[in-house]
Parts: sequence; structure tokens; C-alpha cells
Amino acid sequence: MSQPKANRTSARKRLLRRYFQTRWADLIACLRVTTSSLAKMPALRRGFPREIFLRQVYFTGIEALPVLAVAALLTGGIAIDSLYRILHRDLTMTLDVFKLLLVEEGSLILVSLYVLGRSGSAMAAEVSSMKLAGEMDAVRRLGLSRGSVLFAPRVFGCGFSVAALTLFLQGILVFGGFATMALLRQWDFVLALEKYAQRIDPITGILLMARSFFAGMAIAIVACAAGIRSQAGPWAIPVATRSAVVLGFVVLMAIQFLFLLLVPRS
Amino acid sequence: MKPAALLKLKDQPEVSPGEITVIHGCTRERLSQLTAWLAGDPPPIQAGVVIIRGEDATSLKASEWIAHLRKTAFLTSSGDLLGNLRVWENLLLPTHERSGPHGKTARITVEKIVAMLSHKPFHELSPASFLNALPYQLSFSGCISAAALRAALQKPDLIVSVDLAWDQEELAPIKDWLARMLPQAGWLMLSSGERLHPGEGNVTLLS
Repeated sequence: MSQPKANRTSARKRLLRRYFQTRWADLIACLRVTTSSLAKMPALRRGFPREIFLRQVYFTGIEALPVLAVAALLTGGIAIDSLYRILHRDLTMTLDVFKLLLVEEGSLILVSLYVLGRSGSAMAAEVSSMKLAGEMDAVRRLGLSRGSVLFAPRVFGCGFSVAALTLFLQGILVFGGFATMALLRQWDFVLALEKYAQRIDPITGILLMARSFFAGMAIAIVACAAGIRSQAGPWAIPVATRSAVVLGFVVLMAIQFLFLLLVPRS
Repeated sequence: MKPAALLKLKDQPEVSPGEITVIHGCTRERLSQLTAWLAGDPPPIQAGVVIIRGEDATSLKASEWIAHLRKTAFLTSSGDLLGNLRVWENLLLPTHERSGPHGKTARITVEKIVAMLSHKPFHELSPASFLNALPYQLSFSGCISAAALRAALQKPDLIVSVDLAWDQEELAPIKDWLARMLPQAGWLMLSSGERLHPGEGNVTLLS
């Protein structure tokens, strides 16, 4: 009886060790992508790196606009109507909660999860297939840096896109919310906008943009790291995609929590 | 980090301008090691030296490899093309990395490429469809043609060919064309096949 128990314990230990080794390797890959992207950031000013950066912004940012616009329009309307009813038709309170909960926090979470699912997974699959096709080595053989051609344009392109999409989503949330209330509850659209504008704090806005930018960068870093860690085999691309989404989700939540701890709020 | 298995060279291969040197007898794994070394990895060679540009390339420092790679063109079976760039962008990438694909110099280079495509080994390719294709749409000889065109634009003094059988009917004209375009370049052919390369300069066997 004792032998199988000992075997089970050692198997558990092995599993645990393998788990930590995998997470450690993920961390090292993320650090490699981060350092090479930061080191090659100046290369984005011109040439091919800038071209690839702009393509990344197109794929991650511009192509995501229609779906996010519809989602924000509907979410804004549903959320503000619910809040208005829950808060006993108190306009001031409704606007405060709407701004804090949905426009400031919800917008970033919505955008980053959408970009993680849509672009993060695509980026992990792309980098993984590049690795398996030997394109990573090809870049080196061409005398080019992987940082400037592969990582920096994707990391900063994704960061920029998430920040821009968050700003766009906030605008649509407010517009959609107030337009819905004007239709359903006979709100004065302009008056509601004026009241909302009084609540806008530039510092909070800048901090939110910084947070969105870091969230976007994190999505791309995790996706590229998952891609470069792929091992040849039939599951290479699905595993890279899954790792990018799962690890990206954890990293996004960690970033939100860190900002909550480090950045003082009014 | 040193490679696990080290290679022993039976001779001392020397790559001289305008000449062809063959390192033959590699397994695919050893061929990858040698190729990776020529792209900047630590040397996988336990015994013997490889002379490139008059010096022992096995003792080059990491910083010297960047200059070495700028003067080296690799010809591999995939053509070393990046899958998310079109062929014309792939051709411009090494020489126009900083100026980009839409500048004035890039336009001049594209005109040069179109002129090259009228040469004999490529005259069957339609310039517009070839240059606008994505790498996965190219045939094997299309990939090698793209790699040869890129090498002609790079003007390297060393051409490293990795496991390509240049005596094949579709590849031989491309090699002859590249040799004519770059008469001063030395060729280092890494070969894993059993077939020797008769009349192709010094042949070094690996053990």
C-alpha cells in the first residue's frame, strides 16, 4: 500500500516541478520579448519596422472598430438604464457610477479582453508558425534584429491600438448611453453630456490611457512569448494560442490590480 | 552556450572570392548547426577551422558577426522569406530596413528587380504576380529565385547555400546567373546529401 502512495507523491512533485518550470520559461520568454522590444523602440520611427507597426495598428485597432462600436453602443444603453433604475432615478449618482464603473474601468476591461481574444491569439499563432517555419532564424540570417522586425512593431502597435480603442469605446459608451436615455427616459442629451463633461478629470484620463497602453503591450508580449516557446508538433499552434489567452488574462488582471495599488485615486 | 555535438573537419576549408567551397557529409542536424553558426551561434566545430575572408571564422567574436552577416547572403530551400510580407517587400527588407518599402530608393530598387526579372532564369515569371505574391504561393524554384534576387541586391562577398542541389535543372540557371551577377563572391555550399559536387572547388568532408 505504501509503494503506490509514494509513487503518487513523487508524481505530484514531478507535475508541480514541471508546472513551475513551464511558468519560469514563460517568464523568461516574456522578459526576452520585452527587452528586445524596448531596445528596438527607436527603430519604429522609420522603414520596415514602422510599416509593420502600422499594419499591426490596422489589424488590432482599425479592424476591431465596428464590433466594438456596436458592443459599446448596446452596453452603454443597457448599463446606464439599469443604473438609473437601481439608483432611484438619481441623475447625479447615475452619472458618477456610470463614469467610474463602466467608462473608466469597464471600457479598458472590455477592450483588453476583446483584443486578447482577437489579436493576442492571432499574434501567438502567427509567431508560432513563423518559428516553426524557420522564419525566426531567417531574420537572423538576413542580419536583422528580431526585436525591430518582429517584436517591437507588434508590442507597441498593440499597446497603441488598445489605448486608442479604449478612448473610442469610452466615447461610444457615453454617446450610446445618453442617446438611449434620451429615447427611453426623455433625458436632455445635451444637458447630460454637459453634466458628464464636468466630471471628466484629465489626470485620470491620462492614467487610464497609460494603463491601456501597458495592457496592450502586455497582450502582445505574452502572445509573442507564447509563439517563440512553441515546439514542433501538431499541437504547437493551438498550445501557443491557448497559452497566450490564458497567460494574457492573468497578466491583464495583474496589471489592473497593480495600478489599483500603486496609483492613488480621487 | 556550446552545441551538444561538435563537428570535426577533415580539411581546412577556405572560402575564397569567386570560388566554390563545399562542406559535405553533414546530417541534417549538423547542417542546421553549421548554418546556425554562420548566422551567429557559437561554433559547433571541435577540430579544424573554416577560413572566410582570410581569417578563421571559428574565432570571430559575437560583435564581429553583425558585420559578417551584412556581407553574407544565405540561400536556403525556403528562400528565407517572411510569410507575412509580399515577395517584393521580402526582397527589399535587408537592404531597405531603415528606409522602408515606400521611399524613393525602394522604388528605384523595385525597378531594378523588375529589370532583373527579364533575365534568362526568371523570364518565365510574370513580374507583377511574382512580386505581389505571398511566399506560400511560390513554388520551390520561385522561393530560390526570390532568394537569388535578394542576394543580388545585397551584393554580398559570401554566399552560403544550405542543402540545395544546384545541378537540378530548375536551379542550375539561377546559380549561374547569380555567379555572373556577383563574380567576386565566394560560395560556401553546405550539403547533407550523398552526392558530391564534381568540379565545384574544394570539398571538405565532415566526420
